Amino acid sequence: MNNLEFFDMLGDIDDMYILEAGYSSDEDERPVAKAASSESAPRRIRPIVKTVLPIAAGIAAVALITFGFWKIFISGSQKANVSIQPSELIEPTVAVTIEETGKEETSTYPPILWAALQIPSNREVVLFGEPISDEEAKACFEEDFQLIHDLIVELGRYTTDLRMAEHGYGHISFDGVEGESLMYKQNVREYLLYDGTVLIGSIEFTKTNRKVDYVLLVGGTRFDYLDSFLKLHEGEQILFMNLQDIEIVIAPDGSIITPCTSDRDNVMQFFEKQGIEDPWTYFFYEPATYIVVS
Amino acid sequence: MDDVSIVQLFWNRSEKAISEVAKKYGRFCMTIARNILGNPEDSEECVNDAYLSLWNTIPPKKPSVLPPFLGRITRNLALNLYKKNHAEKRGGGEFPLVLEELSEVIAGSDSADSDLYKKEIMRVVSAFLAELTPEKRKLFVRRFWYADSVKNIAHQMKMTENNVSVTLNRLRTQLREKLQEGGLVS
Repeated sequence: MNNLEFFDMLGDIDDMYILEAGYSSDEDERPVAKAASSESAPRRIRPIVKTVLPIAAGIAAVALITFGFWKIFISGSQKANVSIQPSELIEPTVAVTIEETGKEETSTYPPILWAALQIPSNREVVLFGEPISDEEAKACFEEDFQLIHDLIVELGRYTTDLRMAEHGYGHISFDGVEGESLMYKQNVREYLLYDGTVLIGSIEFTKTNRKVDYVLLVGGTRFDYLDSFLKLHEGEQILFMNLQDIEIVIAPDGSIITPCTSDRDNVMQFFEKQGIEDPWTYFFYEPATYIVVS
Repeated sequence: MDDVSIVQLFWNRSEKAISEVAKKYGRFCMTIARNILGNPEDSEECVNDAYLSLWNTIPPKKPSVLPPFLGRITRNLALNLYKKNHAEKRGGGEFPLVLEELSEVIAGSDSADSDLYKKEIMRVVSAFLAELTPEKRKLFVRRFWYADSVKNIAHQMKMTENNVSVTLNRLRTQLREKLQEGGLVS
């Protein structure tokens, strides 16, 4: 075998390694600043298939299959009855792009360059958006209860005892850019959804100009991981954070999961390399925590 | 535009598919081609061929993540063109250095090149990559998949060129040892 043939053979290495190496001539143009100040939906959710549902009764609903779970945007609190068939989610019936909703970035996120990441230089937290309270979220949930219930059922998750967690949480975040601070979008708050005591998804409320929109996230491996992790840490204050588009969940004992991606080892090595022995304490920010109640 | 929408354009046989791919991944492909071929004219030809190949491949294929798929097509086409050019004594640049480094790894390899032998080599390479730290793996892949220059790797990974060269040298030695352990090279 000669060197050319060997180089040719190396072309067959796993896709994952090609993506991980992250070589792209476009990577220097990554809109880091935009991401840092963006008020859009969390970047940890990567759209795989997107489509737009018929807009009915003033409801703009967008559904995505995102890493195995359904995601539906509802613009504004509504009481209308919307029927969604999963098959419709695959074949769009209305050609409205997600960009037009202003709710979701649609690019494929470039792989993270771990070696270039930096921990925020200080512990200051920069706040974005107008705060949303548990009471506001609860009121919105109660007002739209039937719609939310029906949507979840339509998405294939039959529920007879739908409940929303009493308290929500946000995500403390940073992009790993030198000199940046930690960020917290106080206008975005996620609440876990249960069927009885079984975690089935979550609902994320976003407040903009006093109007509350919400996003339903149902099913998929994210909630399986999260459920197992939260059960292991009942009664503990769990910290939620985003590093670029990676969601990281940290328990007080330092246990970490990345429920949407397989980046756990990378994250742990990154923290270790940055000299962070206790990430929970280092990144602790009370509004980004959730206490699991049995 | 996201990858799924681009792939859908290919499935719809929309000519916009090519322009969207070019817009999003043009530079990505161009860089891979140029790393291997060294000159802009050949690289451009190669990238255009890659788009055409993509057009002919999708459908029936439906890749959910485009960069490795498209990158691999570009890499293969660039390599074929390199072989042709090399036979005609054209080309140059960084790629000969990459190949020279790979020669060290597979010196004493079987010249019979059976499928089984190649499969076994790839098994060892995959196991080797899986054991590396992400940082070292990226370095290896950038050099030997993307054929990236030491200078550029050093810049992108915030390392010195010397550090990159030394690490790559160690990685090559480690891989060679693995291949030797498996009796695949002498």
